Amino acid sequence: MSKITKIPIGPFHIGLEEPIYFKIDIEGESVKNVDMINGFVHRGIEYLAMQKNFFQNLILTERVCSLCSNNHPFTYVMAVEKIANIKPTKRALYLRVVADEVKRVASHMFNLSMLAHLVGFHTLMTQTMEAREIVQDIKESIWGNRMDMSANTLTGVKYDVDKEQIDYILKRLKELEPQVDEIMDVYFNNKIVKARTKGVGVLPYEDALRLGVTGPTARGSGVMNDVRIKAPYAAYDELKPKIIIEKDGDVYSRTKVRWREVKDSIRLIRLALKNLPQGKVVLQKRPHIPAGEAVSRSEAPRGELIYYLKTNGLQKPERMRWRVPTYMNWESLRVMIPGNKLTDVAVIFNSIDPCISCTER
Amino acid sequence: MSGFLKIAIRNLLKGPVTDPYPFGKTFIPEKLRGKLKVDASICTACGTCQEVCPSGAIYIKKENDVYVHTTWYNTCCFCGNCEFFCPTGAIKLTNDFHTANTKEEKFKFVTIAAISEKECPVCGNKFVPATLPLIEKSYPHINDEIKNLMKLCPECRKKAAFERLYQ
Amino acid sequence: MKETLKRKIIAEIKERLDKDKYDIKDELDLYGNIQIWLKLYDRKDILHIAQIVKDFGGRCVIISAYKKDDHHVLVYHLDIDGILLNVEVELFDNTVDSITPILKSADWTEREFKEMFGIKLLNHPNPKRLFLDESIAEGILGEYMPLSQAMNGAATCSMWEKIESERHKDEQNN
Repeated sequence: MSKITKIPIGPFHIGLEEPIYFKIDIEGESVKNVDMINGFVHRGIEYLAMQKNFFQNLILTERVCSLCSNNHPFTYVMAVEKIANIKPTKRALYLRVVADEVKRVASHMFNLSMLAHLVGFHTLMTQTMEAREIVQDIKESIWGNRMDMSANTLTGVKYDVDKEQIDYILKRLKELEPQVDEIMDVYFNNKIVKARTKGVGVLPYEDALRLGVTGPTARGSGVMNDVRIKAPYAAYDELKPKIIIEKDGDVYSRTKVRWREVKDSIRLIRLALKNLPQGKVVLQKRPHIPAGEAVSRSEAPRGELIYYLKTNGLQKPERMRWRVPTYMNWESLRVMIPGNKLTDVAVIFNSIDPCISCTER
Repeated sequence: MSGFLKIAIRNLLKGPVTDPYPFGKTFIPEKLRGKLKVDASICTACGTCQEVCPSGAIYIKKENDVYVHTTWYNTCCFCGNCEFFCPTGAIKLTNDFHTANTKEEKFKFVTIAAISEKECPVCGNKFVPATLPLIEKSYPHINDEIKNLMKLCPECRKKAAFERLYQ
Repeated sequence: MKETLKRKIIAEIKERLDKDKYDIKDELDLYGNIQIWLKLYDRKDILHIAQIVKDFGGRCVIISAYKKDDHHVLVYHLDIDGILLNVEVELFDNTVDSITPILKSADWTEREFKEMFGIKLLNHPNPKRLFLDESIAEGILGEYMPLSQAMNGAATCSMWEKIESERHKDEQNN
């Protein structure tokens, strides 16, 4: 009984979406220890970003990650604008928020449907994905792509919405909201989902604080570090996102945080479109960027995203560095996984909403 | 489970949600970013698109007195940077998303626009004139005088403008 | 509220560091967010700063490394309840003390600059490789390697030649 078995999973495994190598020690059915080795998708994008000019980097940063793709150029343009000392118009800032919140809804719903898939509730997964398709339709109709919206540009946004498009977004959101309510109820109260998520993969408050985790992973453990509230940017100082927090720190809490954020994001999109100020959407298409350094932060669907940019007055950045939320949340898996059953490892892994390709860049 | 049962029964009545594409119709939004359309009569071959393209999919080469603007789709990521930064509005992204091609067609999978140089009516030098959409951005009212000056090469235009000032 | 916290942090820094060993400035953006920029002249002082951040209940967000002339520069980005503290340290001996024993959140990022830039790290509790395999030398990414243009993501000349030749072939056929 007390014999320890070592189980390797990965780096390329049918159950993994991205390459990662787990070494799991199990005793009986419960996991004793977990070791993770990464670095299989390190592509050197940080170096590549220094070879590209500021306009090319708008797109390159967007390609770092697919699910939080809008946040990368968003944070990057904020850093550039800080150096160039440019403040975009109110309309541009509101439109940035709209794009960002649409992305957040889509990202969270994707992760949640993956949770349903991992607990073996496949009809719930397809149902969540189908509801998410409404958001994908909005993205395609307003920005022109299902994932990479290409919404942000230096000194503003690339797109503008007219009355017709606002009505279209509102109409689709009206379709989405009852579906979200319905599915959310299943996630919160269904026996299968609860049995597989409640009390599983607990991250205590102290550990969350010590490891510096961010996003829904932190908020599920009662650590409130939503950048939108702690250090507001764009139009979040006026739109005021709700503080969403859960105390238990298990997979169920993180699921609840994500669903409640989906609801709040829908509210924010509506509010932003309702209060959309008039004005230009972009000030100068190709501004001059002087030498300087700046740090900017934003709240991506998975947590805090930070960009450090150093320029030297030329057309290309001298140094650009960013850190994605998964980078911090990763170490928390070492706390969450031991003590759980082997079958729960995938559920716990999914609950931090891991994105390996943007962690390793 | 009863909560989900309701959804399941409703879905059963609703029928399939997937589209039978390519045998039937599907939802293609107007603004979908697909292949490029380059209007050679508006383009001035300034090279902005080549500079802002993150993936190096656009290449402009001068051949005799024609600038050949080539977009190769095997590198293009359909980001729309070229459309956004184009100063004249010559590049437009269509909603044509059909990009499947065979290996034999790999290097033929391009959009080509030929921008030919015009001859200056005064000195006969060849140059690419500024096009009307570009001029419209600089001048609120365009009269015949501006239109005539547009036809001249930069050198002759300088001369003509200078003479106009001192006559 | 943020203003008082900022004053407390700055007072703490002034108390623990020698007067002529640092430069400090702070910036306020239009939303009232505060960022403190600190430049340390003695790399050992980073341990004091890490302790201050820990005492305030903060965390390490990220550390950016870059090469300046012949040496490396580290910029620590530390967060104390929404206030961002950016600490610049120049490493003239290519060595730095690890702050991971004090701030656990610095674990990954310290290991990353160690292997990517080849900076020597003292007293790190878990100095294993993060992304690169053991068989690859540290700091190798800083070395110059004549890669093809294609590796930089740019389209190569030969590729455009091929595309052009295909076009000419087509023109001749028509």
